[in-house]
Amino acid sequence: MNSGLIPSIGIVQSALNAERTRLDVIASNLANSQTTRDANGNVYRRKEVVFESLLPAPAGTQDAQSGLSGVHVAKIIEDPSPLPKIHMPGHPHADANGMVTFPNVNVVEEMVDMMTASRSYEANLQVLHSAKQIFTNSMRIVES
Amino acid sequence: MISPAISSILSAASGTGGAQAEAALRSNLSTPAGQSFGVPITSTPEVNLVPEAPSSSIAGITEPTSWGQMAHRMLENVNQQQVTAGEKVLDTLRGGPTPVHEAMIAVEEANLSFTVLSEMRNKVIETYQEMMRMQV
Repeated sequence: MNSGLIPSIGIVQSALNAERTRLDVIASNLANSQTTRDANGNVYRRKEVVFESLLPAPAGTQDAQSGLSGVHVAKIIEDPSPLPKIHMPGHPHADANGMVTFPNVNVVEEMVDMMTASRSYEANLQVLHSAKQIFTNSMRIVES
Repeated sequence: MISPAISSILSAASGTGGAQAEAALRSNLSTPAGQSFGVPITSTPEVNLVPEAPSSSIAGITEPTSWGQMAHRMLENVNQQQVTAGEKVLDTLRGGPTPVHEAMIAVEEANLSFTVLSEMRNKVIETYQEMMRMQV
């Protein structure tokens, strides 16, 4: 955490990074919502992000005393929920019964996730704004 | 001192003279901040205006020093931040791995530390002028 002049800037930055990654994952889900074959020949499965606290700052630094830590995307997991099957006999990826397996991506769900991601990005930006405002206000102590 | 970094950002933003901007950035990087001053600050008399260790959060200023040394280090620090911010913005504009918010935060940090520096300078000049106005 490279927090220097502005308080909590390192934490905010880590959160912004994490939200960006979440948006990337949502973009991938939406783009592949109809993908019946991925690079490995399987049906695309919905991806999810797992957020984890960053390790605390090394001892001796200013952040170590506070015990506060930022966030990062620990891993991107696959949604294990069942894949829907649709009867499409003419489809090249149809099985012997004429059923095609589709990804377990629900577009509406992804939209809601997208709104959550963009709102939390906004919230973190607001923290940054506040921190900056506090800093600018404290500069007014020396102003004549 | 600061203008080369800023001008390089501007030229990169306009999409022309990228190589020139990089050259400007490199030349700015290779020149230590202290060398741009005609008078070396080491000749400042050792008047210790800060007896206690200042608890400033600016990196590199932890032990009690003379005011001149402190100002010098602060200048170097602020310049370094400007250069870093310029590099990050350039990297973002070139499509490098730096995310936009990181570049913007770096720019804002550089801006705020420059504000601190100029505020300190204003205060010192003000004090000096006040002393000059004293009746003897």
